[in-house]
Amino acid sequence: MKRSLRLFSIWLFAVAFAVSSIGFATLASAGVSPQEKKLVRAAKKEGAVTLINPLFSDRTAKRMQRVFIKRYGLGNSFRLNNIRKGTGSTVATVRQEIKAGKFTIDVHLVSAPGFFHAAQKKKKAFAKLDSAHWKDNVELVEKAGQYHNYPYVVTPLAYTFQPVWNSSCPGMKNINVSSYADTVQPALTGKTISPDITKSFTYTNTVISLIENGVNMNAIWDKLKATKPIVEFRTEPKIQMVIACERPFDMHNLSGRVYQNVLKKPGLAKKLKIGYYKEGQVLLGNQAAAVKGGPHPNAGKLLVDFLLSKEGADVFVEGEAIYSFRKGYTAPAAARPYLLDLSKHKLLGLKDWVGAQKKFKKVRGEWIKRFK
Amino acid sequence: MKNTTTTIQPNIEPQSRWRGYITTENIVTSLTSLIIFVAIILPLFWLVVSSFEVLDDMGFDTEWGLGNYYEVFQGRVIRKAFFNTLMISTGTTVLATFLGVLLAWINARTNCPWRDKIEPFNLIPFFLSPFVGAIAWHNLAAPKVGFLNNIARAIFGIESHIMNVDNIFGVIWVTGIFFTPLVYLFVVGSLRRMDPSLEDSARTTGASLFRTTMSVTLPLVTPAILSGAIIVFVTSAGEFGVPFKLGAPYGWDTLTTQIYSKAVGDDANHYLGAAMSMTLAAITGVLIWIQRRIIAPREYTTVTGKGFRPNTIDLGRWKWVALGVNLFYIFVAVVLPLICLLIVSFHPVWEGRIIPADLTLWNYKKILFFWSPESIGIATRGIINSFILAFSGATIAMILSILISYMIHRTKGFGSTMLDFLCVIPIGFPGIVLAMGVLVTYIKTPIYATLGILLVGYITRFFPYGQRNISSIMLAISEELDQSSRMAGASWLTTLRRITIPLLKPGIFAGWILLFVIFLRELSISIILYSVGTETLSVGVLYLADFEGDPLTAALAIVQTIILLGCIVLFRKVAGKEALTA
Repeated sequence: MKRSLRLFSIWLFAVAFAVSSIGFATLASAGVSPQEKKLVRAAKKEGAVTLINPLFSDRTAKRMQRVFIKRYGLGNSFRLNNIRKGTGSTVATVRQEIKAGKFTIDVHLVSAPGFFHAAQKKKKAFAKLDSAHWKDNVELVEKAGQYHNYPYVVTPLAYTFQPVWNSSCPGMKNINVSSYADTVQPALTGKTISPDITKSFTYTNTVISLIENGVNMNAIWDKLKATKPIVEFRTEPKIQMVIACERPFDMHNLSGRVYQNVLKKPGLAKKLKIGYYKEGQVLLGNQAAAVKGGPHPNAGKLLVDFLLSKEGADVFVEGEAIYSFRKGYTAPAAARPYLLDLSKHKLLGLKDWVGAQKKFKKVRGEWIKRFK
Repeated sequence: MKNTTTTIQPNIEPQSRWRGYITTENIVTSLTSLIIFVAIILPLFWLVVSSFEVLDDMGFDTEWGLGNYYEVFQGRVIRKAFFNTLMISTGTTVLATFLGVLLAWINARTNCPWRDKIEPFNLIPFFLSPFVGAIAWHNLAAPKVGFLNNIARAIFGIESHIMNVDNIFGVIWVTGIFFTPLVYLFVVGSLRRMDPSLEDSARTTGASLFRTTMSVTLPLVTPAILSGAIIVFVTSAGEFGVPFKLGAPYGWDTLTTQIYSKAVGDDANHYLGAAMSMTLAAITGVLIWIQRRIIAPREYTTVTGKGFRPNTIDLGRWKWVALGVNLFYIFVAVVLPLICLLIVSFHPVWEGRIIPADLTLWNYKKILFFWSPESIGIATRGIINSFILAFSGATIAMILSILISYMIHRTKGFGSTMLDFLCVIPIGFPGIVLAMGVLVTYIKTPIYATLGILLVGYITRFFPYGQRNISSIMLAISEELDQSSRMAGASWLTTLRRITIPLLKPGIFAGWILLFVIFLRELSISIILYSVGTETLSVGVLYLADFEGDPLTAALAIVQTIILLGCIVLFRKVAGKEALTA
């Protein structure tokens, strides 16, 4: 009896060893770095990770969960919880958790350099990262003039606001927009949606960047006001207005919104047009950080690194048609028609992403004078 | 002997006195008072404190000062939002009062055909979500793509539009028709209780129907009209969903949309939000005080001790006009929005017109089939969470309501007056304001980011509705029944269980279902307090509107409306036919 028990134990040990070896071999073959491997076991034990961001749809989040679990062998019970709120809403949530010292969030991903800088400087709010993939991103991040604060805050992705319009709506057939001057043409009177810069970091940063690069926004706003635009800031309700011809031209929307609606109804691809601004496309890098004190610290760091990896980039680029900063990265075919060839466009950043926040009041004040 | 007695007495007396205090009744009532005190006062206390903290540009450090209040009164956007709020509340009050009084008069004082059958439908908008109503009306009457405008253009060949709800008038229109039942409920009872001989006297002296109504009928029910109007003013000042959909995107921000923006928006500043909340609370608080202390006590003066037989005014052929008015109200407040939402919900992408080839049930699959890989988690979770919150919230709130009503009406001390006062406070605070206080208070506790914090918010804000329901019945039950039970040796708990609660049963059921319905459609509190996994039905609707587009939003709105209508049917069945006939 004792002998059989011993034999059984040895057999069990051998099987366990074999399974774990296969697991690690799988990790190695999937190009998982030693830094990631260090985090995998603990992450698996933690069983979940919670990401807050303004970008990832349910569809993208579900796909991300699948790829994340598969890449690191985290097991089917592992959960990637995706909280999607507005840009400022995510900041407000994380800020209040940091101030209260009570955490439900592991990873924060949003375009808010001022917040990330202040949170780290004043509260040491983010965990130190040891990323294997940051080196593949940092060059383009810096070249594009984006904010980062590695080893605490990285910048895995970006988006840019573009003009979007519905060519099938009355009076829109011959509209083409490739500059800010085009947005204020009389033909667009009563047809335009203008972004509400008082409710958005990213619109405000876009305006500040344009001003820094010599664009006279006050003059554009004066002319824009004459076209009687409505003011809205959420991109999905805006694209709905464009699709329904309620307001067929939106100055600042995301090509990803067009893409997602085309997925729902392919016929829209012919109607919805995406332009660009020759004055420059302001690239809005989204920062990511693992919140110190988060309930799943290792899974949080692992997720940040995943966002910097090719597999991570494939998920969010395919799902949202946004830009990865990975060097030499080729976007999945489905998303490609909705992404600008950045090498052919004038890209703008900000001289000082953190300092820009101090300009918010003044810039918004000018806008409020005209539109509120 | 004498000496023995005097030496024992001092030892026994204090003990028995303490024992006298430590009774089940005192323990339960004291605990309830404590819970109510903590639940109401603590969030408001933190809100007041927060309003004096001024946040720096980077959003982490604060210093004490009056800067937030300076910003509230000097800031152009907030000042405008303040005036918009006043205009919307005033307009809504005028519209809802006009419609509410008219419908109440038609149903209570005239011989309008089928009024008994129609009356419950007049109250349905009260149970539905105004936010959903706003979504529907946007699709009905947006200037370029609204159904009604499209139909008008097709029929009359006009190029412009006949109606535009994407402005302050749209907010007033939608809020007004949804709050009409509030005035109706206040007025219809008084009209029914009114002595008709007063009207008869006027008619016999030669006054016309119009003159009699204006100079006799309405003045007699003025306190009820004013009470209803004030409640509508206060509720519409705190309304978030309608201005969020129809006002803010078109330049008509209100205090609630600004508070929302300050609480969780891009320029989030809880402290400034708290100061704005205090301003809104001050307005609503004053009005509630006026309603409670000055107007409400006068409401019974129209009821005389003299017996009378209720009769109705014969409208002649005008009775068909009265019927038309009533049916028109139900059509615009319930039927039309529902039809519109249904149509939108059957399209994958809404292009502003019906495309028969596109019609699909795909959106319903996405929001209902939680096992489907295509499902949208926030929608399916929202349905489940709302049911959990509504069921547990209504139950806890009704238990509290029974205990509090008992304490107010059966124990006559300072405590009962205090409790009565505490129960009024949440009515005066808009949900979004109270939610901010709850968030600040409980963020460091284990209930933060759980359904528990939503439950606390819901109960704190809405339990007075249940308590008023119970109180009104308790006032009608003689105290002698309780006293007899106690005299016969029953404990307080036994008396409550076997005498008081059975007598209150209809009120308990009615109050429970009322709260259940309110919790199912609640938005203002949920939007501030929800977190991952604790999204509610209304949060789901807002989320879909923000991130997924009109058809999915319409589909979830339809699901929410069907659930609410189902609850109303259940409400009628459980609470009796009279429950929805005021």
